[in-house]
Amino acid sequence: MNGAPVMELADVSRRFGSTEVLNGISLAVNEGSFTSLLGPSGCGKSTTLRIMAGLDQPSEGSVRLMGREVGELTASQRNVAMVFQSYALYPHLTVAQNIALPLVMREMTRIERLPFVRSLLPGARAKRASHDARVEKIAEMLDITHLLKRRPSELSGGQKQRAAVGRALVRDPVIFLLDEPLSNLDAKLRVQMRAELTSLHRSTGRPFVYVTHDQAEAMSMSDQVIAIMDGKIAQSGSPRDLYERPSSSDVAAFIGAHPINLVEAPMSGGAVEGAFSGLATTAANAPGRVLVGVRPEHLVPCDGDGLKTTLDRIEYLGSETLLHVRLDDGASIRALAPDGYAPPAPGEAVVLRLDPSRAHLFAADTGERLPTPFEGRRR
Amino acid sequence: MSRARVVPRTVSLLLLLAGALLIMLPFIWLILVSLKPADEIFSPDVRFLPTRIEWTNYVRAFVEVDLARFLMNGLIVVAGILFFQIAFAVPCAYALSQRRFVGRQVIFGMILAALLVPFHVAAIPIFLGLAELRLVNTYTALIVPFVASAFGMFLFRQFFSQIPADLFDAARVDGLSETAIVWRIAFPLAMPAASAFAVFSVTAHWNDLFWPLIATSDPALATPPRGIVYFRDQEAGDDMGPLMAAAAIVTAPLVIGFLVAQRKFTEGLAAGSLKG
Repeated sequence: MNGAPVMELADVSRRFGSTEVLNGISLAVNEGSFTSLLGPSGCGKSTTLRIMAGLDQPSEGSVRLMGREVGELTASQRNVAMVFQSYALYPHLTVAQNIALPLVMREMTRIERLPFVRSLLPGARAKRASHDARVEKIAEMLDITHLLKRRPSELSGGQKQRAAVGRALVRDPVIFLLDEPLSNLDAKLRVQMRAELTSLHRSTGRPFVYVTHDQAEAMSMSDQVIAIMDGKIAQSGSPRDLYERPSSSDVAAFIGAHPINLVEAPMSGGAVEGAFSGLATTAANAPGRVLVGVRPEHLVPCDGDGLKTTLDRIEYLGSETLLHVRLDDGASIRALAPDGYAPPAPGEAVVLRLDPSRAHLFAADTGERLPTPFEGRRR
Repeated sequence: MSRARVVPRTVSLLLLLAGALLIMLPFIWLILVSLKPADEIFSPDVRFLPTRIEWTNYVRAFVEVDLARFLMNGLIVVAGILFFQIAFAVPCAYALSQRRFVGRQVIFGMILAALLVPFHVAAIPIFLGLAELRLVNTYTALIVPFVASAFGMFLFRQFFSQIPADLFDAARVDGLSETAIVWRIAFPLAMPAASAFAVFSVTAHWNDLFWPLIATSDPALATPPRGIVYFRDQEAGDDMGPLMAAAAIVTAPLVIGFLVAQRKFTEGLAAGSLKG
């Protein structure tokens, strides 16, 4: 599935005045890949996308498209397509005109574009007919044929989204860039559009770069997730890599439907002390304090031996139950009990089973991942 | 409607009517005088309505001076000014609101400052400059001083800075040059502002007497207000009936235009709530 790199950034930095927004970003988007740029707002992911699009220039570093240096080329010269968070449909044009505009600008001469000439010149008429046919085809694909005559103000959020995708599709770009395209939709529609975008990605075969701050979108749609934090790439890899082997406590905290538990604990000689004793790192010079990272879904109530905790309160979620519990030393953590679990009364003891291979250790000061004996065993 | 609401409504309606009547009185008087025969205009007792309607005043307005020519001149000057004002103000406003360049704030500050300077301050230097260029007594002299409108730049700039920047980025991705963005995207969106600006510009320059009086002396170049003055210069003395008829004719296009574009005009003044 992953072929040659289509879009490559090498050591890209971007400064606005004295503030550094991006710092040494290097990444590659391969043929046919669905890459997500994931990160909290203000981390620089949108700037990265704008640099890919040619709407912004890097202060340093190079941008290559299909192996060619494109730093100086404009967005349309690069033939990239972009879908904006606000959809950015032209309010004074109909949906059909919106979708056709990239074609008009690319294929018609300056004279053919003039308002009255275009109906007189036979060449312009032929081009118009070919544009209409292509717009029609795209509209059929996106199921918006009945909306072509309307203006954007007469469309719902989901319909605008489709029209914006249509405008991106129509000129057959080498790469699709999507800037949080689903964040203005309601939750149900968002899930539906996720599936549609994935199947669109499959049918076009073009690489997609998808900017989002929603980890669920990034995890469910992409084959490559690039987590960006504070203008740097914190980690890149498959969704499974990011979930199972987060490179830092920040990435671990960002990934996962339920936020990970991060508990600070002392360590001596590479072994964790306190409630999580039994965990250890193979790092040569282990720090004195670590953050133990355990996802709630990897802490399951059980009978017998395990992590002894006291129940604070519960959140019933239907398919599962979120337990807020307290460790002996007072630290508060969350655990996830499966459907059918009968929780005891608050204040009662709960014993949790922890699979040591699912626990992560991070250096307390830098947040960096520390290797555990289980490294590489689970794939 | 209940009685409790009828009374205050009637009162406010009557007050509005009285106010409107007060403001319209000169116009009503103008129309009435323009329809009166000469002996009735100067009769010692004030009679509101004419005893017989004297249409010949309107005919004489066209015959005694070249009123058709004045109207044509007015049209040429007003259209010329508006065309160039928009051609310059729209790209300038786009650059000021959507492009980042050195001195942007300074230039905008200068435009704001220019709003404060009345035209009359610069009139004499401009006249001397045009005289040096031998352009006095030409259409150019009537149009050129007004082509750069600080007000227009300011109005369009305020309007453009409310359009989401994404829209212009989308246009760049779609292959539009900056010039194409100005005329294909920004200007059509700014239509409400443009029509409000057009009303201001057209009224101001159609009614302007000051500058045509300075810049032209050739009757063939006279704009409508300049032309009406010729009635007073007649040796036979003031010819009130035809003068009033000419004034009514000169005012009519603006009144009709405003009534037609009324809705757009108020929309433009209230503009600023543009949502994509």
